Amino acid sequence: MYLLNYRIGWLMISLIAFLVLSSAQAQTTKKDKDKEAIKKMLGCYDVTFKYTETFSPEVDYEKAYDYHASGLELAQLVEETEDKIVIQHLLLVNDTVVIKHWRQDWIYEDTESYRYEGNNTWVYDPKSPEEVKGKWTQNVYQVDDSPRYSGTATWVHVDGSSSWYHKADSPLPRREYTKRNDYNIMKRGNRLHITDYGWLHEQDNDKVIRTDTGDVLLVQEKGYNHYYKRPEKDCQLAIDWWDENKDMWVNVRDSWQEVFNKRNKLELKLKVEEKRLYEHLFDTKREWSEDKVDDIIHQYIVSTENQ
Amino acid sequence: MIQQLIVFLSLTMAIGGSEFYPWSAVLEQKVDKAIKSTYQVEDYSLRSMDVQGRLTSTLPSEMENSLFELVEKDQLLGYVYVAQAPSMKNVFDYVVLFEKDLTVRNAKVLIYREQHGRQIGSRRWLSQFLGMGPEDRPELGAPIDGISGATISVTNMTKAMKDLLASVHTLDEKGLFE
Repeated sequence: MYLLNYRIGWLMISLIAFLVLSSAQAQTTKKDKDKEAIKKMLGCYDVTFKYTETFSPEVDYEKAYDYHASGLELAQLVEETEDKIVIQHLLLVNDTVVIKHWRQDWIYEDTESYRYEGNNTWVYDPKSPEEVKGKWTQNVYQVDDSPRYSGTATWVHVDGSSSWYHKADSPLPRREYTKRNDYNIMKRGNRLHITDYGWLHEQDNDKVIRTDTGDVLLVQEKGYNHYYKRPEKDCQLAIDWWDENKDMWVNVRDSWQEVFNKRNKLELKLKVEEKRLYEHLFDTKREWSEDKVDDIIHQYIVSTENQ
Repeated sequence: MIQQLIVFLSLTMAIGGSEFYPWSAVLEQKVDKAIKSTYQVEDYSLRSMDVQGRLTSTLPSEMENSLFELVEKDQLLGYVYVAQAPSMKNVFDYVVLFEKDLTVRNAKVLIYREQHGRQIGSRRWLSQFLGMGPEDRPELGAPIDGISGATISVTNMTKAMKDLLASVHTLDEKGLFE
């Protein structure tokens, strides 16, 4: 009898160990699939940007003209660790000029993100480990590596395709922030699809007027940014440009990271001496020491108040 | 006390007469936005037009407290007409903005109170009335296109425009715009 109990005991332990290991294996596989999907956004692409305003609650709202643009863009891997993937986007203009574009950082089970509040202010928005379990945070940065918006969600892999969706408050998009002042928050519905031709950044955005009394929807917007894959060599100019300039941008990222590490509310100035931050940082003729980068970035910080 | 109140009200009306519009705050805000975007003006005033004694009761449109002169620094810019028309179950507010020569410069639906038929607010549909003058009598189908799903509102807005242009024509003949 004792021997039988002993054997059943061992059998149960073996079964539990098998289940735990299988589950861990499945988790690893899911995370690997997530990372594979994120890295499928890397490479050289023909990009088309299309936006159209759709529905407004106000009958007298006059919809803006549709926005169409296109370009050649490189999505360059900058950093990869077990729980983090950093992708820098670079625009090629007329096949001769390279412009540093936006950056996306992907962090696994990140509890440390910031949320856009309005008035060029971001608030530290910590999350519990349970809230972010199995999820990836996409932190999106401006061309000068200052923050834009952030979202945490699960990558989904079904029927042979991968996608990720999140809705996040953000400042006005670059295509509108110098042209419009009739709304002050864009609630971005960001849906990323990995496709057979490259990838699609599909957007369902709400243009919102935020005041002390609350949010009022001005109009909704649909957006499609299609990334059509091209051979890597077509973006060689951008690859070379990044090789030459990446060290300076390490300093920029480090400097911002120190600011984010304060975990405080962060308010930024739009301009200093009539110049936006990128206008300083894009001056490649200047010698950019770590201190100089740090100094210029701090000139744009209004405050990092305790929350 | 009553006399003082009457004097106070009279003075207030005299000083800021053009600010006393017979509209809700929301409608006033929307009329203001429509005027500013249409005429590209910032500082302007609206003067209510006295249509009394000009057979207003026989006019097809309600003109009392609805028709205004638009003035910028004592210069006439045009005319503004604000009124309501029926939608399927409610009424909607609209504005028609005229040039000095009484042709329609812009028309906008400002407040619409139900979901059905909201398409009449589209710039594309309303632009069919632009350039029309007191001699025109727009009819649905000739030359105004309908909108599927908004038949009642489209019919009523088209009739409202036809009646307004006929009323403006009559008032013009009576010398109101001289």
